[in-house]
Amino acid sequence: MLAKLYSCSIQGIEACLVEVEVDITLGLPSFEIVGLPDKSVRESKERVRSALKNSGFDFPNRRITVNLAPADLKKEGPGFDLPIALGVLAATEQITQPTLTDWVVVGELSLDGKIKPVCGILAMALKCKEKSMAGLILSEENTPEAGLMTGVKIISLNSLNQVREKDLPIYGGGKGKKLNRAHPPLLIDMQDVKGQEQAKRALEVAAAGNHNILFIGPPGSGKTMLAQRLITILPPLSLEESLEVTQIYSVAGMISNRGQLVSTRPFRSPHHTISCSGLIGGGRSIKPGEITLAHHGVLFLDEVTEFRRDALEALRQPLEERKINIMRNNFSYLYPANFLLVSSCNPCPCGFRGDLLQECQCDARQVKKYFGKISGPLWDRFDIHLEVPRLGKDKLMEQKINESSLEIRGRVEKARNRQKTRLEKLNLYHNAQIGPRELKQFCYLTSESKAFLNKALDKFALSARAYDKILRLALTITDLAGEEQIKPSHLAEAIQYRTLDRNQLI
Amino acid sequence: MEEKAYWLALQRIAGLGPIKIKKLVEYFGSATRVWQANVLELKGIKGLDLRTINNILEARKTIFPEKELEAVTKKGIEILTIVDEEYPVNLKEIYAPPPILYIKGKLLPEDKNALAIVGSRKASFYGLRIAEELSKNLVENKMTVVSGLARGIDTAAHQGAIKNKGRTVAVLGSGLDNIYPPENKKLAEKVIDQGVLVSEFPLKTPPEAANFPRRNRIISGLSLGVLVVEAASRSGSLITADFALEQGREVFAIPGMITNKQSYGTNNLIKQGAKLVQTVEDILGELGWNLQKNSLSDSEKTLPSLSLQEKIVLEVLGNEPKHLDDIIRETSLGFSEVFTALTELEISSLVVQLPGKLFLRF
Repeated sequence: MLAKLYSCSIQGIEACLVEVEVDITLGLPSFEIVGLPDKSVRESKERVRSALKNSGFDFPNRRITVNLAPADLKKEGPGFDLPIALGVLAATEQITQPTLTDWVVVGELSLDGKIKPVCGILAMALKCKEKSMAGLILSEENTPEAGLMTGVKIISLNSLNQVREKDLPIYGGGKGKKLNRAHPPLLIDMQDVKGQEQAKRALEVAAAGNHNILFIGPPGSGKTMLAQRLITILPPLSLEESLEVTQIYSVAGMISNRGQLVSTRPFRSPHHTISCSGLIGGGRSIKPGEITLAHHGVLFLDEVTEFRRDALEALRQPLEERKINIMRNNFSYLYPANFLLVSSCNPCPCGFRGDLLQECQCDARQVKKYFGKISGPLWDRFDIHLEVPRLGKDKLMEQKINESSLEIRGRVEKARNRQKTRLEKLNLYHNAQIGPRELKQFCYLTSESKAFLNKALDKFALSARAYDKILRLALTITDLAGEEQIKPSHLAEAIQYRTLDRNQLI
Repeated sequence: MEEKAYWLALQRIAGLGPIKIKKLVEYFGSATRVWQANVLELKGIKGLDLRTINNILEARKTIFPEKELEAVTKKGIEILTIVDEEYPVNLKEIYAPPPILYIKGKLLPEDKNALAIVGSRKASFYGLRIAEELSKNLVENKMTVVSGLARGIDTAAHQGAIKNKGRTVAVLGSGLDNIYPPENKKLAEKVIDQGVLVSEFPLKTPPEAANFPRRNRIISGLSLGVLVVEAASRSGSLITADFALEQGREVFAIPGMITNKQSYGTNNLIKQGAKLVQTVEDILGELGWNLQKNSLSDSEKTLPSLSLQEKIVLEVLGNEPKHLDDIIRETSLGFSEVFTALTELEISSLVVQLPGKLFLRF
């Protein structure tokens, strides 16, 4: 007899509906799964067989064929255990089939019949809603996560035994249920950073215009500390952003707080030994990379010159497009990757160039070689280069009360709103995204500003590219100031964030 | 032309130094004759030991003078022998001058009015600035600046001359086709445009440590005097100063802070009697050269009109580099005011920015 039900498979960060057909015919006993199953799906036959037997069901001693459709889609993960088991039960009429039609079933089985949670439930719930399926049948532990999506009915199971019960409770499905979105208090604050006024200001500019930023400083100057606090001055995640981030973390199996949306912006700080696929996404079984995990948040590459060259170069395209397309076995997997890139490096191999407290041991050639590890095009992706000094003891002991993250965030939000109204028509969000052509339209310079900028270009021998960057930064600084015209002082500040463009004598 | 080929060949013979070559050429009358001399003739020369004679005979089998010359001219390099008229007069005067010089560029008769500027490869910003500034002043007074194309002070000295359309000579410690350090290749090309590259080493000679003292003797030999800008206690620049004394040239030194390691050598030179230099006048006066232009004097530097903020910022800046955060704190001005003031001051060259967002009064 033939039984048919639905399940879901994760492609990229989205779920797609998979039809699970179980056919039981006469013949030599066998158990085959077709439809591009990967190893973990193929292994599910052993789990299904044991789980059924240990839950007191009959395992048919006949020829069992399981087809997963669409047949050209590669299926991964243990989530097909439960639908296959239910399919076998329905095909042998041990349970009645009508209950199952139009429900999406996902869950991993243990040998004793317990149902275990799987990754990517939020995406699956979203798909259910999109395709107007009846609801989701899944493990108890997955229920809160699925419950995040309003309007999806849920039957939650603890073990395979429960399918014998007549009236299983149906959760969810209501319309008005509010999403549980707590904003936990920030554990870190800009206030914690002593001194470093210009670095904090640069972070504010970076946050306001979404400008990628590079910290250059000796060891122990607080680059990591500063970078971690960037998320505290960015506006909180909007509801849609929260959902997207939660979906990604759900797919990656990294949800720590099931039943709650991720509400703080992600801060990802991968180690410099990370592989290209670890950073970008991919791997043997395709997983989102660090750039996707940093979606709507901050990706911090500490010691950026130590990263593998291929990994760094691969960053270039997602930095422009804010997403990454990974092609694998004729399928392309799309992962969002809209992140703010913060990097840090030392000013030279020994780390003490430009340090007031310790002498640098490097010569010009070593310094050049050190910075040469990053290609020109990648350099171009950094709008702000900032040199961070190491503080003397006296400044570290200072008791001055600094500005809190919340105050800075207020200004950042205002500046972001101004950009939004300006760029809405172009379908852009931030000043950092403005192309050279639109730049002319938005950055009108008064004759005073123009004269100032020309003088600076001559003096510092800046390139045309640097000119564009300076204008973009100056626009953000003007937004932060809440002014309409780009003034020389805004340009001056922008110029100070581009020190590496200059040909310095030393 | 032929004669030069034989000079080249003689120089390639192991164990044949400047003194012996000079002796041989004087004895036979020309390099060609030396090369063609037979064993008996060679044996007849007093003071020429058997090993050298053997070396000469051996070398004739492996060295082909015409080919040597062809390889050199192919690369646009010229040969000057000590008997040539263009051979620098200053250099001729020293003990054991190199019998031949490889040159690229043009050596002019005026280049005899030369001053060498040498110093540390790892110089401070102060040193680099002084080297460039004095080099500029020297070329403005129609002097040629001689240096060694090394990193640091040497580079600054060449640049000071090139930027101001002056003459400059770079003496290498390697073959002319083997520019060292590699990052100075572009600088070397500019030197060729506005002066000359000089080396006594055959093509393909690597920049070995042992070559540099020999090169230093040419640097001082080409010049009327040597100015040491910054030198640590055992710097190669001090060797150049020693050569200068030996060769009867003037030695000048730029004083530095006694706490600065890079100024230990120069301060020591002054202690031993080197002339302390504050302005280009100090150099020219000592050489009996008339001052034509002096741009280091403050009277000529007219200050542009400064805004109030710029004045405040300038006030807190001293000769010690200061970080941006400290400037902001000490002036109690806002971010944008300090940024504007500093950028304006940078543009008008009153303030200079060093790596690490440090600012210094210029």
